[in-house]
Amino acid sequence: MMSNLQKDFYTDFSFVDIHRARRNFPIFIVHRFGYDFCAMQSSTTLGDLGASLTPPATKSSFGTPWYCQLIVFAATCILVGIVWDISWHSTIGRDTFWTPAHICIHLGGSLGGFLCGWLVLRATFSPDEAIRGAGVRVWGFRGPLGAWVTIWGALAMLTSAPFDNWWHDAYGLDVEILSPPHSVLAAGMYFHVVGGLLLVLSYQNRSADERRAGGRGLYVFAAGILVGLAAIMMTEKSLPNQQHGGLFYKISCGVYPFFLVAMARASKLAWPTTAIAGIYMGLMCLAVWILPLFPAQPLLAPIYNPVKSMVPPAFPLLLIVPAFAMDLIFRWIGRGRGWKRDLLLAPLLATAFTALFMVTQWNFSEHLISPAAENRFFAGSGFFTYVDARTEMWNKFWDLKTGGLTTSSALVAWGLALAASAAGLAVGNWMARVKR
Amino acid sequence: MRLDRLLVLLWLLLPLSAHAHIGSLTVVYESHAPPVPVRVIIRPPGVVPGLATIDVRVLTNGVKRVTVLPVHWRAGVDGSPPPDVAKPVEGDPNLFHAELWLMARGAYSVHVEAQTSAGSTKFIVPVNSLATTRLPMPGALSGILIALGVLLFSLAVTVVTAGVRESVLDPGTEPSSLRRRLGRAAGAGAVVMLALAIYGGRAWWNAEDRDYRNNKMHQPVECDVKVRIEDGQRIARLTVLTNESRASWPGLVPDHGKLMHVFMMREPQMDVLAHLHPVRRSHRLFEVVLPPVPAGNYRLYADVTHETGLAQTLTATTTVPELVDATKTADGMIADADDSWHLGAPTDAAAKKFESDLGDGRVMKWDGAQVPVVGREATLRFTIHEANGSLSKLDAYMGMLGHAAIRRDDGAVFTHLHPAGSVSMAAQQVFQIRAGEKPPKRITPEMMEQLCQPPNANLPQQPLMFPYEFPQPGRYRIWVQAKIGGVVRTGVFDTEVIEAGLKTAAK
Repeated sequence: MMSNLQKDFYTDFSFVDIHRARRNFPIFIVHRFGYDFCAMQSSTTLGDLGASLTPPATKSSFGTPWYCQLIVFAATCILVGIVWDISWHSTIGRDTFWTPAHICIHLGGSLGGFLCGWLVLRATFSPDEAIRGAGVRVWGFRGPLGAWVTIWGALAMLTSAPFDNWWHDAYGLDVEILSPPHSVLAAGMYFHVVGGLLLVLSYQNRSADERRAGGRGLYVFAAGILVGLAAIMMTEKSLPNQQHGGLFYKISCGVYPFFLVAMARASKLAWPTTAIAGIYMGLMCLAVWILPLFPAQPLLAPIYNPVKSMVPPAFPLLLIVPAFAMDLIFRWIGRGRGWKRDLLLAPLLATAFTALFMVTQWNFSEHLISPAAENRFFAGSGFFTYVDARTEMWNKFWDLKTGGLTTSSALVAWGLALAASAAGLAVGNWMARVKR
Repeated sequence: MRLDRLLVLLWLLLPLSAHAHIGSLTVVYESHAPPVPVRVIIRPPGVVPGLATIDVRVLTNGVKRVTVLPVHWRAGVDGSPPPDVAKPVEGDPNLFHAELWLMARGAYSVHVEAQTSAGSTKFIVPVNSLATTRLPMPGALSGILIALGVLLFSLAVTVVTAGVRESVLDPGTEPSSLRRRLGRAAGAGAVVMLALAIYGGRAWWNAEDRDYRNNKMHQPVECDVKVRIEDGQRIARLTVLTNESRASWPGLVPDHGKLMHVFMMREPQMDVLAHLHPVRRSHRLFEVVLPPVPAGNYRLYADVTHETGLAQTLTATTTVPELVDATKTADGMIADADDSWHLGAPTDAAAKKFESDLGDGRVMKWDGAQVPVVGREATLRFTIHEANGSLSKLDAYMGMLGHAAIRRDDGAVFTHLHPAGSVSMAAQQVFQIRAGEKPPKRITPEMMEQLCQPPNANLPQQPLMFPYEFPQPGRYRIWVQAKIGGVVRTGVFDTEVIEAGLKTAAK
């Protein structure tokens, strides 16, 4: 007798996939999570937007329309750009509007904005009722909900530019991630990516084939980007040296379950939470491994840490561990919806996330701040910037006396995880039904 | 955004005082050392981190390359990036321009190197990196941001409404009345959420602004000055009002031989000037014998340089009592030999506007042909003539040809100038010591002795020139001091400084 887990595993990909996996392991992995890049590249053309609004329910349909691919590419540009920009500020310091990192962010922002503007115009003025009917009405225009959200995000990103520029003149260059103008930019980037996510999601949800819906892999990839953006915004409170503190767990438990649960709830993959966490970790690991390959030096004084190459981010959080447990819970409870089921799910998910995240990250952070992590793989203390003078504090946990993890802070973290899980389920239930 | 604008409207453009000199962070340095005489003007941004501009004017031809390098006092040369190349300014072949990021608060030294085929000149210009300004949001930018904010707000509410109303419907399906009501309710919820977000953002902005004002902006250091009469002398006791932390008041180093230079001006007429050098009694306590200046209310500006290289001007006001019994006892406190004072204001006669009577038939003349303009480099050029019209021979006054004090009539601008400019020469020397191969962490007494040496024994003679850049418009008084025949003489002049672009007909 096969378990549900085994059933899904055997029904979700074929013998052909296994044969292919032997030849090309990475493609196998991607395919396992439901996203066939080869199919993606060949399945649609620029001209078949109308046809792609209603995904064909054939077995071979893993592909997604070009605009979905482009919007996720734009989202990727934003994530790559922001990671690159933080590394740039940590390494070189001096920047202008035209640094490659900024261009990458602006490319993503403007590409998404213009693309979605085009989608709105197309949906508004198209003679094809199928295209017009697949949008929501805003100020007399029609367009996919995701397009509107991305447009809002792009506008917010645009708004943040003069605001941030003035802020630098008024208060000095804010060499911190969290500041009011940066928050406007972050909100813009978030909703830009959320819009892309909704665009792909609506395509996925229109699929007649629940199991093999087009765009389901692209959707999970976009979800991983969104988790990455959330993690970046919390960087200043999530450094390995802070991972024995109560605040880190409160913030993490209040945020990650929401993203993971909401987006997994709407996914049509077998192991969506694990996939989303894996994509987040994979992307951030690539940054950890690739950035230090490029030589660079600080161009601003004072320099207390003469770095020789681009500074990577800290090794990503091991979200994949609690995510796997959350997937097991989802599979155990089942995918059906309803408030009774959600009432059971929320505390289970919150408990699983809080317990496993704490245990995992508590122990893993001990490794990360130890000399054993000073290598290319874990990048140990590699995230310290050119202004961080090397001290013994690099290898210690910070603020343990005033803000260490206590029973009460752990309980608060669990409570936040519960609220985040419940909110994630509610939002995820809605997302699972989005068709426009 | 609307609330943000209200906040912005409350802001004032108020360059606050108390740094090296009052009313401006800009430093001017001039060196005539061969092979490349130069004048350097560094204009810090008034925020930290911020972008300073530096103009290097070479006073000779044939300069091929000028480089500039900002060095923070704590990090030293080893903690500095490669120098930047200053670019020649189009239309002015002797002017080079660069921009420098000053990333940290405190004292910086800018290492300037000018290269010619005959060799290169290297020198250090100290500059303070401090947050001193509060910038209002320009009206146009404010309008743009409000418009974008309104657009974002209304678009967000509309999209949420539309999303809840239609997004879960199959394509082509019209929303039911229930879905429409749900959409409107969601829209109302979005209004509440966005209003809360704006409120929170405003609170955050206010908190950031408060933190900037209270913790990041340089706080003026004031002195408490009490004048007592003792042994027939009026003795002023200056207590520096800092907190008890020694870190907030690092050690001092002597600037051209004195730990503190105090300029006292009688308020409001500015008809009395005293240039005094108090002695240190304890860490933050100084005393000085007052010269026979008339009683009245005085404003004091006290220049000090810390061993970090940070130079600052402390301010105070005090009331000087009348000296009833001028009989000085034998064991009274001895005044500094370089103390000087002057009674008198410039003449009102327009014909004598650029002349100041020094006594004994001597006269100081100011070549004030050009009306000073805000933010424009200028050379204040003076000559001192004997009664027979010949140029006077000047003695070194604290190692220099002359000293000048410049003050705007409201006291918001004050500068102590030398022929080398407005830089603290002590700070320059501190940075030279720190730029050595093994930079010391502290400045030792031996190093201080070295700093006490007169900067230049072979003085050039007249004219007496001071490079300067007036930071703000208004009416200024200029006191110029030089030593002739062992006696310090002071010339006094008034001038009106105008904004750039205004006509100079007033002159």
